[in-house]
Amino acid sequence: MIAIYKRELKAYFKTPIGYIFLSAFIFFASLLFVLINLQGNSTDLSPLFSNVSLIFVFVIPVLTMRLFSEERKSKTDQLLLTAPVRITDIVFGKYLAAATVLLVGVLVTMLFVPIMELYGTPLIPQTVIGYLGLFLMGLFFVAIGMFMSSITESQVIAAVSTLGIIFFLWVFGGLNIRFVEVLTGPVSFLGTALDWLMNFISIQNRMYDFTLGTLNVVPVFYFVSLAGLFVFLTIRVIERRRWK
Amino acid sequence: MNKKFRYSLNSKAFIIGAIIVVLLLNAILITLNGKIALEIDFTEDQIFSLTEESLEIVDQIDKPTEILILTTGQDSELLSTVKNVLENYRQRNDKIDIREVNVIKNPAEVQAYMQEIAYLSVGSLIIRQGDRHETVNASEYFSENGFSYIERLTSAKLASFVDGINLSKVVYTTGHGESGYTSVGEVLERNGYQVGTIDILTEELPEEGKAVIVINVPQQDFSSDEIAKLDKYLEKGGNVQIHFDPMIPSLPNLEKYLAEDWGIIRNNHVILDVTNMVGGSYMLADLGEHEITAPIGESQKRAGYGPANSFSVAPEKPASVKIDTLLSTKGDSYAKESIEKMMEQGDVRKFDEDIDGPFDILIAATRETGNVDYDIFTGRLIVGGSSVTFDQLTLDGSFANEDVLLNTINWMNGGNATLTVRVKQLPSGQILVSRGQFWMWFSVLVVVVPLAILTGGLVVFLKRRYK
Repeated sequence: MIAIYKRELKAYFKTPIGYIFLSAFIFFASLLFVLINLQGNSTDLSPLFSNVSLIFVFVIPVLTMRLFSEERKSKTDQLLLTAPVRITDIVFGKYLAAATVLLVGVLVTMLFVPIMELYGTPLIPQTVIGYLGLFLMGLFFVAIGMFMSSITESQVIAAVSTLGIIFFLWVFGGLNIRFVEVLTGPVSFLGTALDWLMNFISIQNRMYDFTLGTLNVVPVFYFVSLAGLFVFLTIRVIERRRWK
Repeated sequence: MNKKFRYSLNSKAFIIGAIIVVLLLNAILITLNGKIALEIDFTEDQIFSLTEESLEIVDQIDKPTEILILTTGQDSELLSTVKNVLENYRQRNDKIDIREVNVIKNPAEVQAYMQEIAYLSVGSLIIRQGDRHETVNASEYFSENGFSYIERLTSAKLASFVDGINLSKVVYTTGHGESGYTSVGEVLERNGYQVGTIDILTEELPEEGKAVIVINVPQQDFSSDEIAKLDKYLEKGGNVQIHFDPMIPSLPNLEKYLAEDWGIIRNNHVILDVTNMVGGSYMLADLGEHEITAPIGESQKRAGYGPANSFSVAPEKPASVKIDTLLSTKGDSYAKESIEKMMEQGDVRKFDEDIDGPFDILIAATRETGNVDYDIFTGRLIVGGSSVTFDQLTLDGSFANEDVLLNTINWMNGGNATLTVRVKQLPSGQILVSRGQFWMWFSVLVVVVPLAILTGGLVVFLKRRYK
């Protein structure tokens, strides 16, 4: 796994993808920081965390689109699948490499904290929890992106479909609809179920918990378990291909 | 069944199983989250957790109680914050249920409270238990200077449903030109007290230990009969607050009673402190060391006062009386001999002839009566020298006066009749960045850093291309 992890990590910085991801992410996050916090004279980073989740929607597909699609297109996946390496090692190696690049981006934005320290007193506990939420959300998105990359050989399709799924999760949860108030009478159970589902998949609701400064088990488990599920699905896809 | 088909079936079952397990575990956690606390509050003032005082109240709720959150179907930050705080009540006591009610879609649900709802804003609460209900208005949730009152207001209303907690009364005397309770009554009522008036000459005094009698800035003196009745009340463990002001004349009977029976002398001069003046009319006081003032020190708020009388301890103070300072003026303060003298000087600033501070302007006294063969009672007395300390200033959230007032009443009730829930400081930090600094950071973060990374990428790309 370590060898695959190193190879993937190097690949990010031997191709422009890693640089494009980092510069785009840091550009937008910094823009939000200077406009919301420095211009707004506030040390509260929660509006930044909420908005960075939208930046992730657009930049994470760039980070993950090549993970498996490129190998499949250039046929190097045959080499990888026949090598004496476990599928889990291949998937985890690639996933951790993408997660590392994501972490680098998040760490660079942590420079915002000492900058605020120069002009005031940042809310450290809330900020740390917010960054944790941001990173966990990123891990979830990376897992989705890796899965989409594993089922297609086109990087563009992988990127667009990842963007579509993440955007759907982001927008659907943000809809201000209460189905229980629309679906009344005999179908009221459907309204309750849809409300639950909407609340469940809402990225914004989950991220909001982190921006409050409270560490709740529910959103942590949500991001970790769903990231795990998509990693697991990727393993199944690759395993199926090797078996074939 | 061939091997390929079996593998495919197993694989699909495995995938479906994994999805179901993940969804199920998340569903269980979400359900549990409504019943038990699954979060750690890292906010500086623990705004999403309940204080010990609130927990004590919540634990005493023994009948099904419903908290309705009034909404219009739109989510907002205020609603999320309120729900987050209220969730703690449900998690602590399963007799408490929290429910959102869309007043536009389901007006029938709140039909019975229509008149009150007209005055409530979105996010307000209706707390109901059986036929009784109380309301909490969302417009009172946050003070302008960043304090959250959500927990205090909710807990106070819940306390009114608990037997033994809701009996606390604050009664203001009438018949002597007193100021009454126009401003402070609002504060007391929203914190769960019953506020009323009493004519101590004609009416029966409330049960000792269950009420506080307040003599708020009387203009006329009390008769000896009234004082005798008050003294008897205090002897049996009653609670009395007396508030003076430099603007009121000397009240010989009342002042004599205080001096002889309690050892408290009213100094009828005018205390001022232009050095520690806030907003041009109020001055900042120091907190004394007492159980009443101890919790206030934690909230970072300061108590204020207006022009005041001070108090000193009489040399012949009865041994059974214990006197403590609650508020004293700062060292920069000074006392002008009288209102007339101040008028004559024509200036509020310090003159050489003025007396140097600090002075005691709010004191707490206890007096034990009875003997070992019978019951021993502790009468509690609070004496204040400024009319605004426990009136207008209790409405100003930037001062700690509301807390001081509520804590005095709590102390007088023995600390167990009504609990005062501390207000919480909302997490917000201010930074001050000049225009030049803003543009400097804008250039570094938005232009230089992303451009440097992108250039690095371009160099790598070109190197590989032309290798």
